[in-house]
Amino acid sequence: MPSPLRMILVRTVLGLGMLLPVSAVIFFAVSLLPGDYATEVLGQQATPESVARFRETLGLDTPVAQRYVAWLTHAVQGDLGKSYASHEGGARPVAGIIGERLLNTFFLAGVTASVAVPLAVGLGILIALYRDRWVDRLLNSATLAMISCPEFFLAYVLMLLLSVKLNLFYSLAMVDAGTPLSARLLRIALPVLTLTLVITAHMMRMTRTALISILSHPYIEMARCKGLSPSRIMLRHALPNAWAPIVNVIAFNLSYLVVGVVVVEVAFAYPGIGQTMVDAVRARDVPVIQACALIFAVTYIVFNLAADLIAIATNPRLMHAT
Amino acid sequence: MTQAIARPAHIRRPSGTSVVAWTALVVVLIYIVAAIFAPLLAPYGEAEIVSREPFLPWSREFLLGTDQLGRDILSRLIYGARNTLAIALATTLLAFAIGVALGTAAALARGWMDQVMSRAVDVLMAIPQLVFALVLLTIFGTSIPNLVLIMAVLDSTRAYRLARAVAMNVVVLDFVEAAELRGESRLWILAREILPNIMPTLVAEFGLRFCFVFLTIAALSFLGVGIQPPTADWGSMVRENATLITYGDPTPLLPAAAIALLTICINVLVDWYVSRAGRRNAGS
Amino acid sequence: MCPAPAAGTQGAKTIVAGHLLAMRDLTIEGGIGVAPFPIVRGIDLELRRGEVLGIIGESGAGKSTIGLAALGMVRPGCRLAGGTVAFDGIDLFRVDPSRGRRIRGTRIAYVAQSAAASFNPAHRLLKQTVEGARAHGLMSAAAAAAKAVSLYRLLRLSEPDRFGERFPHQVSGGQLQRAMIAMAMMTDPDLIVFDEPTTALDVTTQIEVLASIKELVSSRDLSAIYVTHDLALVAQVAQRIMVLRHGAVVETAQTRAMLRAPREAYTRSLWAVRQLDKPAASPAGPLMRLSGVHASYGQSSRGGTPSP
Repeated sequence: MPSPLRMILVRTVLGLGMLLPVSAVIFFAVSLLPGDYATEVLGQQATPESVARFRETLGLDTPVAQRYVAWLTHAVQGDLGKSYASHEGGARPVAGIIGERLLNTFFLAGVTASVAVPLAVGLGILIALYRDRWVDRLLNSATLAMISCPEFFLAYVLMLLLSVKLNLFYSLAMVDAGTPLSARLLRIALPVLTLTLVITAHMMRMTRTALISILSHPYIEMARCKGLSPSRIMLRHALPNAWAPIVNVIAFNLSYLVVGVVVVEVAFAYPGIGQTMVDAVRARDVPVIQACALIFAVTYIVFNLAADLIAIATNPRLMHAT
Repeated sequence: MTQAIARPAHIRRPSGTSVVAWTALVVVLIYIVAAIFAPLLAPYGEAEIVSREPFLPWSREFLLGTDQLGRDILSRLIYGARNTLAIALATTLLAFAIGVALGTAAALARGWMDQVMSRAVDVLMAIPQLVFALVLLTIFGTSIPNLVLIMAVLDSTRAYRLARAVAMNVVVLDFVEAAELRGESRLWILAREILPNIMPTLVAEFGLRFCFVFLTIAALSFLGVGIQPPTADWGSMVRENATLITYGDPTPLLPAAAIALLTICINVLVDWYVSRAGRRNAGS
Repeated sequence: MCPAPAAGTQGAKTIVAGHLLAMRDLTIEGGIGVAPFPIVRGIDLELRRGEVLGIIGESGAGKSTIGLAALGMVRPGCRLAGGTVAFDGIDLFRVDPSRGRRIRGTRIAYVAQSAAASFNPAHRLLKQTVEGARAHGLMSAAAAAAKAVSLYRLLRLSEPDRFGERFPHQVSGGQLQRAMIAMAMMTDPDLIVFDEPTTALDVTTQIEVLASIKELVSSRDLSAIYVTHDLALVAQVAQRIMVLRHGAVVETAQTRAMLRAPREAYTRSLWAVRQLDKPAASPAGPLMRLSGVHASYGQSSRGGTPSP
C-alpha cells in the first residue's frame, strides 16, 4: 500500500479508535454518581420495592461493564436510552429529545462557518500582506480583545445594541420545527454574529501567523530574485504552501465552535443541543447528559481528525515521498 | 502590494517601555488590590440585602444599582473580584502543579509508564473541557472545592504536555551534557541551566492557562453550574441580572466587561513578555 | 542612461562600453523599525563583461547584502541608505518596479546558498526551473522544457530527461544546487551572483559543483560575482578579489597579485598560516591510562572484545 495512503488510514483508525475510550470515560464518569439514579428519579419518598423494580427495569443491577457495552451498542443504533426528567411523568426517548435540537445546532454552526471562514481567511491573508502597518496593528489589537472576551459578554453587548436599542434583530432566537428558512435565518442573526466574531478573530490570527511564516521562507526570496510579480509570488508560491496550515486552523476552530455554541445558545435561548445539555445538567437528567456529552466528544474528535488528515494530504513531502 | 511582498519584515515595535504593556500591568494591579482589600473597598456586604426593591437604577446611594434580590451591585462586583480571581488562580496553580509533576515524571520515567499516562491524557483532551466539566459537576456537585479540583484536573493536561515536551528536549541538550561533563550536580543543572531557558515558556503558558480557566469558570457560573449563590461571582452576576438587558440597562455588562478586561490585560502582558524574552534570546 | 543600441546588435542585451555593474558609495542599513545600523558602508565596485569578481570576508561582513544589491534588492527589514547600483547604466534601485523585475528576471541571476530552502516544496523542479523564462515571456513552454533538460545535462545531473519531474525533497543537496544553477542559466543572463553556493555541501560535492561553475563561466563568457568565505575557492574562480570587513572594503586586487603580495594587514591575516608550537611530551609517565574499557549503546553490546 502506498505510504501516504497508509498514513491516512492509520491516522483515521487511531482517531476513530479514540471514540471508544472516550465513550467509556463518559459512561463511567456518570456511573460514579453517588447515591443511585433510581432514587434520584423516583424521589426520596419511593418505597424500596419500587426502587428495586425500577433499577431492574433500567438494568442498574448489572455490572458496570455490561451496562457500558449495552449502552454503546444501543447508542450506535440510535437508541440513546430514556429520559425520566420530563414534566409529564413517564419516559421519553432521549434520541427524540435530542434529534431536533441537534439539527438546530448544526444549522447554527453551519451558517456561522459559511460566514466566518471566508471572512477570516480573506482578512488573514490581507493582514499578512500589510504586516506591521497600522491596519495590521489595529486588527491585531481588536482580535486580541475579541478572543479575550467571554462569549456571553459579546452576546449581551450585541443584544443590547442591535436588538434593544436599534431594534434590528430579535433578542431571543426562538425557532421551532415549523419556522420557515427565511425566518430562521433572521432569528439566528445575533447568535451567528456573536459566534462569527469569536471564531473569526481566532482564525484570522492563526492565518496571519501561518502566512507570515511562509512569506519569510527563502523560496519566496528566490521568487523575488527571479523577478516575479508580487501577485504571482502570492498565488503560485505562498498560497500553495499555506493551504495546509490554513485548513488546519479552520478545522481546529470549528471544533472550538462546538464548545462556544453552548454559551451562545443559552444566552439567546436557542433550542439547540447546548441548551439541552445545560438544562439536563440543571435537572440532573443523566441519560440526556451522557448522550449530549458523547455527541460533543464525537464532533470534536471528528473535526480534529479531519484537520490532521488534511494536513497529511496537503503536505507534498508526505504525499510524494520516494 | 509590491511593498508588502518586498518587505515582510518581522521587526516589531522599538524595544523598551511599551505604553500598552504598562497600562495592562496597572489594570491587573488594580484588580489584585480590589481582590485583596474587598472588605475595605466595598460600601456594603457581599450578600447584604440593602433595598426591598430589586433592580434599582444607578443612584448616589447605590452607585451601580441593585440586583434581583436587592443587593448592591458595586459591592458584589468588588467581592466578585476576590472570589473569581482567587478561584481561578488556585485552579491554575493546582493544574500546573499536577501537570508539571506528572509531565516531568513521564519524561524521566520513559517506557510504559510514560505511554500509559500520555494515552490517558490524550483521551482526557479529546473531550471538550467545558462539556466534560458540565458532566463531572453534575456527578459530584457544584461546591467550590469540587469546581477547583475538576477544572484543575482537566486543565492539567495542557501543563502535562508542555512539561513533558520541555523535559524531554532539555535533558538531551548540548549544554546540559556539557554541564554534566563539568561535573555539576543534577539539581544545579536544573536551576542554573534548564530553568532560565524554559522560564519564558512556562510563564507565558501560565498566563494563558489562567485566562482559559478564568473564562471557563465564568462560563460555567453563567450557565448556573459553577460558583453558586450567594457567593458573589462575575459569571453568575451576569446570569442573575440578564433580564436587565431587555430593558436597555447595561448593568449586567459590567461583570462581563470586568472578565473581558482582565483577560485582555493578561494576554497583553504575556504577549509583551514573550516578545521581550524572544528578543533577548535572539540577541545573546 | 543607455545609449541606443548599434544596428545589428541584440536589442536589449547590448552592453554599454565600460562596466556591466557599477556600485558607487553603496550604503545599506538593517534593523529598520527597531534600531537601524549600517550593514555595508560606502561600497565601490565595478564589474566588466566576462569578469568574475570574488567577494570574500568573514560571516557578517556584508557579502550577501552586496550580492543581493547587485540585483537591486534588499532583505526584509533593510533598506538602501545611500549610493547607487547601476547595471548596464540602469539605476536598479530607482528604476520603475516592473522594469526592475524584468531586468532581475532576465539579465541577472542569483544562485543562493541553500538550494534546499530556495526551491518551493510544493512544485516540481522543472516547473520552477522554467518559471522565470516563462513568466517573462522569453520562450514557449516546449522550448523552455527542452532548454532546461539540456542545462540539466550540461550540469551532469543524472537522468536529465526525468530529473525535472521530481520534487525538491526527492533529490540530494548537490543535485539541487546544480538545478539552481540550471535555473539561473535559463534566461541567458549577463550576470550571475553566486552566494556561497557550495557552503552547504560536503567536500566531494563541493568540488564537483565548483567544477561545473568554472566550466560554465569560462565557456559562456559570463560575468559573475562569487561570494564566499573560503579563500581557496575564490582563488580558483575569480580574476579579481574584493576583501570585505565589517561592511567596508578593505582591499581589491587581481587574484594573483593579492595572493602573492596582499597590501593590507587584514588581508594578510586571512591567508597567514600559523605555526602551532606544541610543547614536547612530558617525560614523567602518562597522564591517563585507559585499559579494558568497553562502551556500547543501550542494553546490547555489539562486537569487539575488550582489549586486555
